[in-house]
Amino acid sequence: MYRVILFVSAIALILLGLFYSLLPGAIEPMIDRYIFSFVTFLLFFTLMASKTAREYSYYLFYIASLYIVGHSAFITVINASRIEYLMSYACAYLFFATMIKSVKHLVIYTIIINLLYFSLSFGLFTKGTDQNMYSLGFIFIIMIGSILWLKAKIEKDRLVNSKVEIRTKELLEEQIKLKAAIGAVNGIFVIIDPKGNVILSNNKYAEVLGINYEPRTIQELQQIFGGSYDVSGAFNVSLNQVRIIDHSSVEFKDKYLRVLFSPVYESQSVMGILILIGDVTEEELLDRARDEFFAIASHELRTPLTAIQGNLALVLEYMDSEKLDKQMILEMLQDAMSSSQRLIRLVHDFLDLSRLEQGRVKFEEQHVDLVALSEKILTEYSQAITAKGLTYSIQNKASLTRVYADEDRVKQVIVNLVSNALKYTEKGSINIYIQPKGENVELIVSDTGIGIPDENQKFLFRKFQQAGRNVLTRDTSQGTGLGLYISRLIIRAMGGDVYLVSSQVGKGSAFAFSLPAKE
Amino acid sequence: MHNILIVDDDASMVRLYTNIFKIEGFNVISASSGKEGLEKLEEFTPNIILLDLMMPNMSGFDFLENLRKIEKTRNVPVIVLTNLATDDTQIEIQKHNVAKFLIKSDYMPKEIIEEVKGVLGIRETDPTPQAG
Repeated sequence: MYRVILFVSAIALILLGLFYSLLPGAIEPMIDRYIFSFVTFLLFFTLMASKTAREYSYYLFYIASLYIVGHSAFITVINASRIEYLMSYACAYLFFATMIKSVKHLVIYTIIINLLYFSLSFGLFTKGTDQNMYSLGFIFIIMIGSILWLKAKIEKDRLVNSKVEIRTKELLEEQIKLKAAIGAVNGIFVIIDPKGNVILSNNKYAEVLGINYEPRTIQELQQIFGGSYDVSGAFNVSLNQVRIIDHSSVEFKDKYLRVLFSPVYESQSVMGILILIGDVTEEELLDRARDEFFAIASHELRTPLTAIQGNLALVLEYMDSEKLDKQMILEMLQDAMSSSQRLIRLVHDFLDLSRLEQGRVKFEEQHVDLVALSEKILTEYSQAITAKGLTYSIQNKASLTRVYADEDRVKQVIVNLVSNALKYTEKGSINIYIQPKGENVELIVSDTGIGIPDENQKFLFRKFQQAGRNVLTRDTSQGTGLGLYISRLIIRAMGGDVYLVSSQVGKGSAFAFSLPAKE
Repeated sequence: MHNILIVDDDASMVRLYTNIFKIEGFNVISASSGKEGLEKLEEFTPNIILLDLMMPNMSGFDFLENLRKIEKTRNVPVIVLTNLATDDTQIEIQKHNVAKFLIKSDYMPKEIIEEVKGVLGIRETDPTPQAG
């Protein structure tokens, strides 16, 4: 709209100039006054119409050009000196218009040009004419108007800018809060839009999945899982059916993951799916360990009960029958008897375990000499050891062989280690070494038995483990599988530790415990 | 006379089941491990196998897999007799061709005999046994 008005005004100016140039010379001062007023009006109007300093500079350029064109028409009819200064005014505008780049420039140049013009016009027309005074009034109005208007404009800009600044700051703060919040999420937090592109993520892929790049799409996320888990399938189901999907135990490499898909709403429509991926390996293993404990515990209880029940049932059924002789009945009763003892041992172990785990066992601490205690135990075991064709020895390399501990409990641990060695050794020897280890005394029970494969060694001190991970291949004939676990609980409660020193399949194993030495 | 193979690592269990079936007139062969069981199968083919699950080195399931690979023992009925009653076991057992899955402690000697006879198709009233 402004442009149209400007354009029409400029055309009118040219036409006016052309029209008056054709008239006789008497009318010339009037023409000049009109043109002057008109141009001044145009400048003022342009200033008000311009939205930016740059726009104003363009209009100035435009008007100044037209002004020159219009005036060139008068050259032949008007006083040459008058033309000159009008031309200089226009040329100055034209020159400065090209340099105006900001509101500040505009104000400065407007002031400079107008001051220049005034000094010029007063210098040329010292007497002053009504025409000059008339122009002067207009120019003053323009100057004051320009300055007031520009000031308002600058204020407005500043206000808008500060509003933008505040909002930007707020958004930044929101972003920081959001990042902090999702960063605090334990596991991967990623929102994926319906097209499959990641909108937001806390980038915990390295921590949870062990990968050091950030997938940008659901396809890239699927690539991480490969064929082992259909993450994009679940994503699509969650998206299409708009429901939460919870996969609580996803196997990934050697981990267990919980993967949760939850639709994210924005004004009632689904804007994406939030996927949470957490590492639940510990929980899963604990769950499995607990399940395994009950499975094995009930198995261990059922087996002797089956033997007792079965044998007694047979004896009762066939006691007076020819099908059973006295020897068979004796054997059956012996089996029932030994199974009862096995059951009692088992129950004892369970209770011991439970009390140790809860820290409810009282340790009667006193000075215990490990060499003397070992000798006593090996003497008790000597018959069983030699019956298997094995030899035994005690070798002491320590000057301090006394510990301050519960003698019965230390004995329980040594008995456990020695009986384990005896169970799994068919030829060779069982040796006890006593030696200093820092502030502690270390007692090693070494055998030349079957040894434990590397991969099974980490399971040794677990509940019910006999160095085999698979429940199905547990060796139940050799004991409860609680011995080492109980031994470790006992020794740790007395400030020491039980551990595997070394083991080699076919060569033998060496288990040890250490306790603080006491004078 | 029926041949029965008992595979169980627990000596007290082997003795119990051996006695039960000897009294009942079965020809009983026992093995204390899966490996020994497979060796025994080389020289004789049982009419039925009583199999424990939890055994060192070779589990009952491993034994079953091996058993089914051998031509002459492929179709021998197997009763899994165990005290390991977990959900995982129940699931795993479905994958194998097993005649019965019994929990040892839940069965009295007489009941075990009935189960075995049932699998072999022997009826108490029928004096002529039919081979399964």
